Amino acid sequence: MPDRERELERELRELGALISYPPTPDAARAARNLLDEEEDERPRRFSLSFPTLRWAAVAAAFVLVVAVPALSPTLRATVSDWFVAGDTQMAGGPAVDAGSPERESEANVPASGASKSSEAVTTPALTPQFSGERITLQEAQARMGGALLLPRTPKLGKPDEIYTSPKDGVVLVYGAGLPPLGDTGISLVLTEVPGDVEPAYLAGKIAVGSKLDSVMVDGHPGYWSLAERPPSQMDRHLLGNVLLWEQRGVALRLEANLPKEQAVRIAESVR
Amino acid sequence: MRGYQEVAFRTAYLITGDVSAAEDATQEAFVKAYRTLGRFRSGAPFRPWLLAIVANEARNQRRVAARRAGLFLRAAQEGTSENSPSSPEAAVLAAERREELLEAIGGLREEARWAIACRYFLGLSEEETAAILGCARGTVKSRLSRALTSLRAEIAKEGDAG
Repeated sequence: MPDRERELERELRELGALISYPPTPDAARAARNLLDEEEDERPRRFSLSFPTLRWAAVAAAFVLVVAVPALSPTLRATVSDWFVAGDTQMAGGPAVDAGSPERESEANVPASGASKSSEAVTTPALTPQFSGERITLQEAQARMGGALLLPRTPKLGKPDEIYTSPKDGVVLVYGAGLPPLGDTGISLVLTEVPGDVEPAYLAGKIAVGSKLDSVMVDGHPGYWSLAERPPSQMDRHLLGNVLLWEQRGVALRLEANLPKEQAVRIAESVR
Repeated sequence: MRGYQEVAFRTAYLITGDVSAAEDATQEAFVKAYRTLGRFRSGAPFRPWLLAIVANEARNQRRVAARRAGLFLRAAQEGTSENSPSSPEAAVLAAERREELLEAIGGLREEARWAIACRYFLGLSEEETAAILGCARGTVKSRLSRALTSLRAEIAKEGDAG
């Protein structure tokens, strides 16, 4: 190798040695933590395949047996959690802790016999309560694997608050822009839950609230549940009308004080 | 993995030109390496395999950030500016020469720049350089030889212009 080339190589090596790199982060540890978190989540996801039947308050107020063959397995599974299960969220939802005896009893009560749990919820305040942990938009994105869905309607900006949902999902809360849900100061609640749950456990029928109609949301089958009565302190769970649908492998639940057509329009803006 | 994280991070840093993007790329690469460990050929050297994953992730990060290619030059310039020889005269000469070299490298084709960065800035072996560049070892040799020839030509061009 000619001397000139060696000299050039030496200079390049020296130049490289002069580069002061930023301190090396402990990426191995960060990666390990990430992998550990994923490991921890696996059993939880599996357990979702077997519903812990909740949302007894809705079932308590109105009991109706509805066949759900039109829904995809994914949405069916999640729908059953939402209608029969109830700890996803509701504006002004039950003021009981996840581990309280009341909640435990709700969890074990079949939907058709859930009126007792409705009576058990007597806390009068309509203050919105969400059982999940408050998180940022970025954290919500990460929780949904980068596929967080948002309504793209000018009436709603970014969500005012975001919470985790107990079912590996997120709850987006909007304060203004639409008619309020009772006196909660909330106008719309959008819940998103990843849909990889066991398809078969519904056995074709679930007990849900009355006025449950089939709807189509941008070609996706869904359900519309109308709140029959104005919000009252005794009916804190059913503040708004509820639209359920599935989109891109995510089961969505939109609750708002809106007529069906308007709710569907907002749902169709979600992407 | 800890034993590899410095070279992995530095590789990612030169590719992305950004500390947090390099950190993300390194972490993601480690996660991917762990998940795809089953595909790693037993008996093959681990470091080139890992660095290839790191380089891919770093390129993805760079694409996401819409950063232009060759950011390692900026990183190198920023990194070397604080490391000056003790005497003022030597410092001026060294700084001028560094500038000259970096400018000349900047005038090379991207594949030539990368060959130089891997071999001389990161001190990687031919095999590791080949893994990062996605080519055969023999290609690294010829690419590097051409890169040095082009570099000398660039320096000469700058000298003539100056």
